[in-house]
Amino acid sequence: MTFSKSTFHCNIEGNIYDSVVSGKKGGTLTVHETGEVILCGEDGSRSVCSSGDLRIEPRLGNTPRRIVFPENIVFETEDNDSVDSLYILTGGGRFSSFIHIMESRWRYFAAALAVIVISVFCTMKFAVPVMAKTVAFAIPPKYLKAISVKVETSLDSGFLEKSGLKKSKISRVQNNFRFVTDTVKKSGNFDFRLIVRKGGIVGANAFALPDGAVVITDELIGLSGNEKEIIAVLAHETGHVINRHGLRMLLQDSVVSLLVMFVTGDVLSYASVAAAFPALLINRGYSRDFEREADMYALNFLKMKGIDQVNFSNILSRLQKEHGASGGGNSLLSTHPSTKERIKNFMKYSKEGADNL
Amino acid sequence: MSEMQEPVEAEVPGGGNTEEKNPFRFNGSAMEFFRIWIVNVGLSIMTLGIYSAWAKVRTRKYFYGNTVLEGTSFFYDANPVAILKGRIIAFLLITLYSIIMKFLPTFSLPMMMAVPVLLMVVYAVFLPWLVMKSLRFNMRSTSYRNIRFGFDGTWLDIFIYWVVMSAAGLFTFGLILPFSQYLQKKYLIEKTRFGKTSFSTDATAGYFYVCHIIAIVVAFFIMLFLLLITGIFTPLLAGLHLSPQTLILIYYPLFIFLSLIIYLFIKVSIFNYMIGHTTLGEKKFYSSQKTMDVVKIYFSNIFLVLLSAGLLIPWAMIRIYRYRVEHLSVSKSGSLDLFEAGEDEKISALGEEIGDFFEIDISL
Repeated sequence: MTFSKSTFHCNIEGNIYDSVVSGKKGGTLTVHETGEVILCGEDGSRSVCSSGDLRIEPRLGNTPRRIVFPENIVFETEDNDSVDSLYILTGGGRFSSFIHIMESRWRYFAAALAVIVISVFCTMKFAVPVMAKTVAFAIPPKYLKAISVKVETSLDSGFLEKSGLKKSKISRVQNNFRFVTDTVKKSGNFDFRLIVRKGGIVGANAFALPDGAVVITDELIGLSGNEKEIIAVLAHETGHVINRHGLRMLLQDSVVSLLVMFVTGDVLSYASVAAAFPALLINRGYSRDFEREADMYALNFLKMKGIDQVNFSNILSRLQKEHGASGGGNSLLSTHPSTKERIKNFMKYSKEGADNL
Repeated sequence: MSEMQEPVEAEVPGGGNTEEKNPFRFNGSAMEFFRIWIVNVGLSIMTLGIYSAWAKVRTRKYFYGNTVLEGTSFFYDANPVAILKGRIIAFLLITLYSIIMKFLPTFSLPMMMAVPVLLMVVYAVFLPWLVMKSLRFNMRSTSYRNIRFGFDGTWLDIFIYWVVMSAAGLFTFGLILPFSQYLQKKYLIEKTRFGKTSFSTDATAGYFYVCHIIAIVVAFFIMLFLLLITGIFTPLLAGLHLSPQTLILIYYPLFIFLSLIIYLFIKVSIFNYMIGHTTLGEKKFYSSQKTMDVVKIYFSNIFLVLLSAGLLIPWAMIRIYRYRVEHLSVSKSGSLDLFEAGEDEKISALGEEIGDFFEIDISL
């Protein structure tokens, strides 16, 4: 390539393809300062036109570049830089040049990457929970039975064992549960029922299933100092139920899986989404916001019934001591808002509540 | 039976064959494409998806432009605006569909029954049209040495080979499926042309049956082997208190892994076979992919894409494409110089883009 700055003039080597037959011949493209473009083939052929009549393909990485002459004669070259100068001279596509600049500079790359990361993050953080909430509240609880039954069987075969408590003790806890859920029974269509099981590896714990079933373990019942503490725990779990946290978490996680599947095309993992729920519930627990919502529910309930709210913070601190010793997370004692923080909130709220009273 | 031996020959890279070959080359780089891809995704998000039509053209342009045969690269020049129009129409169709489905429970009972049947009929009629449009558009948008490719398939043929034959597969317990697969692939090759010259193939259905039989036999023995292993180890594992769930958790990925290998074995063997039996004028084609190589690439791709939260997608795309291209070759004999251009025709992108939305993937 020869190239002079003052008067534009360059020679570009490449191949010529006519539009009639697939033959290939070498050729040179010469641009004169007058704007005249001459294409000379190695076989002596000559095409002449004005630079304004050329159609120059925008640049894309280092792929060979095409310059199309009138009559659809194509000149193809790997000399991308020379073609770039010619491209600018002919005033060709600002938009496509801009795209190429974006694709070849790291700062635009970084900007695009930032846009992707931020939008994915915002979708996950804000849009997905709102969508999951809308969907969760649109589904009548009676349709949630199937999910709950599946989770229940899965919990029973994988983690929990038959309760070892006395019948009278269990029926007292059942009465407590009825006390907690009686007020909401009229408003929702939930099938509230309490399942008492021996926790085994999950220890002192309680879970809420989407359709209204609440699981409580022998260990947690044993840990409680009085029935009011059990009522507080059950009210907390009922808070999860009526706010449909289980279904919301399942939906949110499904969206994440859906996105992953969409990106990777790995459809096979879809089947495992629903199956993963019990493990999800036990290993990760609910999000900070869900726990707060359930705490608030429990708190309001205790206040309404005139039960001292300190009962809930009492059992929470005892649970923390218990689980702190054995380690590991649990659903009632979610890892996200620390128990200390929750107890503090409680104290604050109950004090305010007392002031208001 | 000669058709069964040829692909085996073709799998010996470079050696053993008297026929000299010119390989396809791929000049793309993962680094370069990585930037193009990121900008594509970023701009698509910022323009609420509008740029995705341009992104698609640029991606394909990049892959084709870096694919080189006998010193010339391929070229893709679809008009993004046409693709955008197709996408908008596809989007409207999907919206219409979801509105119909939303109001379905409010319809009278006969209507509720009729709508899904009606939709199935529409789909059966619509699908071949989409396939045809999509192939025409893609072929027409692809050129080599300034000669465009083309596809001449018709709606009726595609309807018979894809819809009717698949339905027939149900009634013959799948026995006819390898045969219909053969007819589909043969049809795709013979209706594709480079300029005026059509591709031709002398492939026969026998190989398709051989492949499927091998796959079934191998799958059977693997299952048998797994059962045996389970039988041996269950007493040993009894002390570990493994629940049935845990066992399923172990077997499920193993099962998927093995099914994917068998699927890829069929796919790769048939691809090699069909390519190896395709000619364009005097030029013969060869493909020498190996199942285990493809398996390795697939699994490492999936693993690394997941591990990188999707950032390695462009790298994975380049890797699998490079492997496919670099295992393709044409015979040295015969010339690529004498193919005449076909008549120029304009085709809308409509079919292709709607096809993309419904995830139609028709290829060899």
